Parts: sequence; C-alpha cells; structure tokens
Amino acid sequence: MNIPVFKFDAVIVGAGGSGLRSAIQLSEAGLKTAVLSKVFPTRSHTVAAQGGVAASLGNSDADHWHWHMYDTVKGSDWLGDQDAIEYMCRKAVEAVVDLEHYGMPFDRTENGKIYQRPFGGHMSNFGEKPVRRSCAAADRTGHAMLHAMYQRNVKANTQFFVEWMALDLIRDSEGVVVGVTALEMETGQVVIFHSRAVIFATGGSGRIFASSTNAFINTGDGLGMAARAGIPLEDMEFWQFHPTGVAGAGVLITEGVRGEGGVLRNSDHERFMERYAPNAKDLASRDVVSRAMTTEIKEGRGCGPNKDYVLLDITHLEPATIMKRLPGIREISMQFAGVDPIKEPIPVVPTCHYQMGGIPTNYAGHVVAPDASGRQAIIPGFYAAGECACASVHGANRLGTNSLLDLLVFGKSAGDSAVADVKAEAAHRDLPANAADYSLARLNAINTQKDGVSVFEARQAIARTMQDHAGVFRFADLLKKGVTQILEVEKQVRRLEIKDKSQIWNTARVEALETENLIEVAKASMISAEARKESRGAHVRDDAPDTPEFPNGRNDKEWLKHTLWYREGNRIAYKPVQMTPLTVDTIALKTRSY
Amino acid sequence: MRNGAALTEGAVISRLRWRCTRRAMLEMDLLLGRFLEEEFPALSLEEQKIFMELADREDAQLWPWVSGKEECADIRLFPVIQRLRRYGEKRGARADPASVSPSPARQP
Ligand SMILES: Cc1cc2nc3c(=O)[nH]c(=O)nc-3n(C[C@H](O)[C@H](O)[C@H](O)COP(=O)(O)OP(=O)(O)OC[C@H]3O[C@@H](n4cnc5c(N)ncnc54)[C@H](O)[C@@H]3O)c2cc1C
Repeated sequence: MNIPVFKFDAVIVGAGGSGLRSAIQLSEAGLKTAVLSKVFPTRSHTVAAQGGVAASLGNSDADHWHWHMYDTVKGSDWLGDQDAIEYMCRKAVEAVVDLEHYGMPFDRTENGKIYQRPFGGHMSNFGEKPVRRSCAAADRTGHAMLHAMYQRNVKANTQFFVEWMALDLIRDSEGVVVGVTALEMETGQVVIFHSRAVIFATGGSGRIFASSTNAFINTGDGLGMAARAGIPLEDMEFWQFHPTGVAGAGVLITEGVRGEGGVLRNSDHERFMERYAPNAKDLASRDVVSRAMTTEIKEGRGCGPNKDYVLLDITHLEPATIMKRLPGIREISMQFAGVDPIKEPIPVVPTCHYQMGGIPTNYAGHVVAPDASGRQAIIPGFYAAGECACASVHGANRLGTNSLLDLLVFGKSAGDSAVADVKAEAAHRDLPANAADYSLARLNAINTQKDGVSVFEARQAIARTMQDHAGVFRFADLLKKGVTQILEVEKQVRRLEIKDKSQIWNTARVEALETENLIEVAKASMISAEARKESRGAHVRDDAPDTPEFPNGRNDKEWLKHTLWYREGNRIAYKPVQMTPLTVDTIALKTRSY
Repeated sequence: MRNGAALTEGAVISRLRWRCTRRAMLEMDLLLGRFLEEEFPALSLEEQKIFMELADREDAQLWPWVSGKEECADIRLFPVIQRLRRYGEKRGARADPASVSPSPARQP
C-alpha cells in the first residue's frame, strides 16, 4: 500500500495547553511544525480548567518560588522529583508573564497587577498559612489560555491538522523516534508524519474509570502509543479523585458547594464527615473526604437501589443563597442527577479527576527510560509534556492549579529541547521500511474482526473493572482480582468488532482505536497499584494503614521510588526519586499532614 | 478540508456525533451526545441545521446558554437552545445515578 509521507521538522500530538505552548517555541524558532489534534485546538480539555494557574508572583500576598516548591514536594508526598519541581516553581512567574504577552486576559487588582486567589495546599513560608497564588481569568482560565496560545501559533505559522488521530510512534532500528502514523478522520486515510522531533501532549486518560470528571476525549492515546513502542509508563497507580462527582455522570460539583455549607450524608441521613474529621468535617482535604465516602459505601451505608453513592445536601440553605452563591450547581444537578438541589440532595461519588503518572520525562521535556545498563537514558527525538507526561512534579498527589503550570513550563522546555536537538542534526533520519505496517495491521484487525466484542462492551468492562478494583481506597484482594480481570478484559479488546466499514468519518473505528489505548492505561494502573504495597498520596491501601512506624501508611525505606510499567510481559521496574534539587537544599522527608 | 463537499449522509451524522461527544467539557459531551441520539432525528430540517451550527460553537459559549447562566440574544438560535435546555432537564429527571456511562452509549 502506498502511504503518503508528510515531512516536518517537528510534530506535536495534542493541541491543548501543553501542545500549543510547545508549538510556539518550535514555530517561532523557524521550524516547520505540525500539530495534530482529535478536535479543534480550542476545544481541548484544558478548557475545563477554571481554578487557575499557580505562580509565586506575590501580587496579593508575599510569596516565593521556594515556598511553592515546598508545597509541591509535600503535596506530592515526596514522590515528586525535586529537580523538576524546583525548575517548575522557579519558571512559574516567567510562564505567566509569557501568557500575558500572548494576550491572556488575567483578572487584575485595582493597581493593574494580576489578581491572585487562594487554592488548597498552597501556603506561605514553608507550610505556615494559606497564600494567594493562583492566577485566573474569571472562570474561563483554560479557555482563555488556549485562545491566547492558538492565536500566537497562527501568527507563527504552526500548521494544524484538525480531526486527525495519531496512531503509533515510529522508531528506527536504533530506537530513535522519527515520526508518527496518523489517521485523517474525514477521509480515513493513514499518513506518515516524518519528523526530527515528536512531542506528545495528548492529555489525561481519566476515561479508564467509570466515574470520571474527564471529558470523553481523555482516552490516553499518548500513553497507549508510548507503551506499544516499548516505552515504560511511570507512577500509573497514582490517580487523584475528586470527592463530589455526580453519580452516574461524573460531572464535577465544585468544592465551593461544601464551602457554602453543603454537607455529605449517608443512607441513615447522618452527616458522616463529623466522625472522620471532627474539625474540618465536610471541608477536609479531597483524599480524606473521598475515602470517608468510600468507607460509608463499602460498609453498606450508601444510598440508592445499589447503595453505591452518598448524598450532598444543600436543602437547608436558602434558595436565594444557592442561586446567588452557587450558580450553575442547580442546573448541573437538574441536568445530570435529575434532582433540584433546593428540594433534594445530590447523589455523588468520589470521581477520577487527574492522572499523576505518565510518560517518563526529565525537566527538559525529553522522554527518558532505562537503557540496557539500567541508566536513565534520553530517547532521541521524543519529548512529552502536560498531563500525559510524568516529569515528575506531582508525584503521588497533585496540588490544584499546578497542572496548568506544568503545561506551560514543560510545554516550553520540551519545545526548547526539541529546537536545540533539531538544529544540531543535519537532516531527517531515514524512515524504517514499512513504517506504517504496524498501524495498518491494527486497523485491519478491527475492520475484519467477526463475532467480536463491541466497543461499548469493552469500554464498560474496562471502566467497571478499574472503578471496582482500583478506586480511591484500595484493598489487596480487590487489586489482585483486578489484575486478573483487566487481563481478561484485554483479551476482549483484542477482538473489537465494528459494524461500520466505511472510510469517511468512521467514528466507530476511531473509538475502537481509542479503546486500544485505554486498555494499556488501565493495565498499567492496575498492575502498578497492586505492586505498590504502601500508602502514599492518592494511593491508599487498606493493608498499609497509619501506624507510628509508617505514618499515613507511607514506607519510605522500601517505597520511595517511581514505578515503571512495561507493556511487554507487564513487567514492573523501579527508579529512584530525584531528591536533589537544582540549587537549593533537599526538602527533607516528613509526614504529610495539613 | 473541514467543509468537504462529498460527504454522504452517514458521514455527516458520524462527523456530527464526533463533534457532539468529543468536546471540551464533560457536561457538553453528555448533553449533546444524548440529545443527538434521542431528539435530533425528530427535529425539523431547519432545526437540525441550527443544531449542527451550535455543535460547532465552543463550550465556553454554549454551556452558559444551555445552563441558563446567560441568555442567547440570537433569536434564530434561541429555540433550539431552549429545546436543549429543556431536554437536559427532562433527561436529568431520568438520570440513573447507579448506572455509570463511561463512554458515549451505543456505537453506530
Ligand atoms: C474539570 C477539570 C477541571 C480542572 N481544573 C484545573 C485547574 O483549575 N487548574 C489546573 O491547573 N488544572 C486543572 N485541571 C487539570 C488540567 O486541566 C489538565 O491537566 C490539563 O488541561 C491537561 O492539558 P494537556 O495540554 O496535557 O491536555 P489537553 O488539554 O487534554 O489536550 C490534549 C490534546 O491532545 C489531543 N489528542 C489526544 N490524543 C490524540 C491523538 N491520538 N491524536 C491527535 N491528537 C490527540 C487532543 O485533541 C487535545 O488537543 C482540571 C481538569 C478537569 C478535568
């Protein structure tokens, strides 16, 4: 088959915050740059981010990058790499100023500076008291960010391939990344993008869970492609859950609802958080509330016919307060839970929100993996940034507003690294023979499968398996069963069948391809979670409880290390956490408590 | 390329399905995706065209309209937006918190 080859200096897969930020660096350096996206760039999931982006500008309160660094290390439960964290926190101010120059309409103080608001976990003076560090553009931060960067890219002549799906990474015989294969949805045509640098910026994979705040687009394509190309995935056991997603829909109900007096109740109508967190009650941190909810459900005090959710109650608030202070919440409840929260409580469950792990990178955005001698080596030609990457700055738990910062800082550093590497090389390396064969074989299998499994069934199976076995609170026996079950589900995914065989706009085919990526992420997450026998950050096991020897269940002697999962043989390896920052002293291990 | 001329009927719907279920916000994936399955076929041709036009708008604009946070001033679009909003509330009333929907329901 004759597969068209498009030649670029650099190809970026993903047009969310991280992809657009990288593209600016490449195009403005004069490189011929392609950006591929499953959707129009300004429809990427970054739009959903409202809370803002963290930077120690010090406009509203005195602040310092070192304090931000401390908060991030602590938030990560010491699993974050301290060199990358120092890098990110030091670069934050510049990242925000760059955005401002691109035309981002940040909220302002009266004297014209960028206005900053507080956000959980961000403190001044090494954990002393909350600091206002988040920069936002009303409740449209992500949206405004994408628009500003998209415009800048248009000006810089970045070439966009919209409604294209990247399928697989192309590596040559020496393992160097030399391009990707991609499918144009409108025509069904497979094309090879031959390039000197490939940057993955494909976002999160939250759709592996049944209950997820993530939009449907978050199917972990970048992770699937990396895993199939032999690259390990790092720290995939760490998923952040948000306590209040609407049961059955996943749509996020903001923390503000509890801030205004909303309370959680079980089937006995009890305000159960009083038992778990006598002081903070319903306002305790996300992980504490999520685990309490799960315990209530597990012990049979959940609500509804299957007793599998709890209730978020605001019926005691004045309707006027609800309308004024919590606009949008009433409509979300009516549209997605079918209840008017003025009259009835909202069914909620802890809901998957953010993926801390991903494709392993260093702080310069290079993808790194152990070489034959076990040394962490750069994979030439390959870079990653944003939620699909693991630098690792979020470690075992991400702080709110640090993710948008991660996109900007590592989007830029990945772009800069790619520019330097491309300029140092004289020409494109050759494509391997039949570079598209692997992708074509996958497509062919999907097109010709008979008596197979529908995409709908396979996705349900993945999501249910993850939700039931590797949710917010984890149990040794369930994790073990989960591993067996997800490998069974994988067999179903190998037999995906689609009824529609057309070429043009065959969305069934695209969804089958997405499912093949979801299963890689699901396996990585389940197997990594089963293997890590301690509790840390978002990974909390029933059999690793809080004891004097292991506060919070964390066991630094054995488990202060990053997980690496390999697709081949489902092998697990570990690598050390980088405890040495770039210029300052190590932030020493301590028990994480707020 | 986005306005490809030779799109068949099936392809038009497939493309629309993609644009309704791969949006920036989960709220809109759910709302537009379900509306497309359940109500779109019964719309008049004129309304269908307007729905397609709306599906090409951005969520930051569309969500405030269908959630009633903002009023859409365009009287041409308004009836379909009202319909979406009413559909959402009616669909919500049937919401089953016990049934999780990990992906857009049925495949073509
Ligand atoms: C509801 C919600 C609220 C949030 N609020 C905040 C907040 O206030 N502050 C904060 O810091 N973080 C927040 N986060 C997290 C943050 O928004 C995300 O981590 C971040 O936006 C991810 O950006 P990204 O650039 O990595 O990916 P995305 O913005 O998700 O973009 C991914 C891109 O990759 C493309 N893509 C994927 N696969 C393929 C493929 N196979 N081929 C071609 N293209 C592909 C997509 O089309 C898209 O363009 C929030 C997350 C959610 C879900």
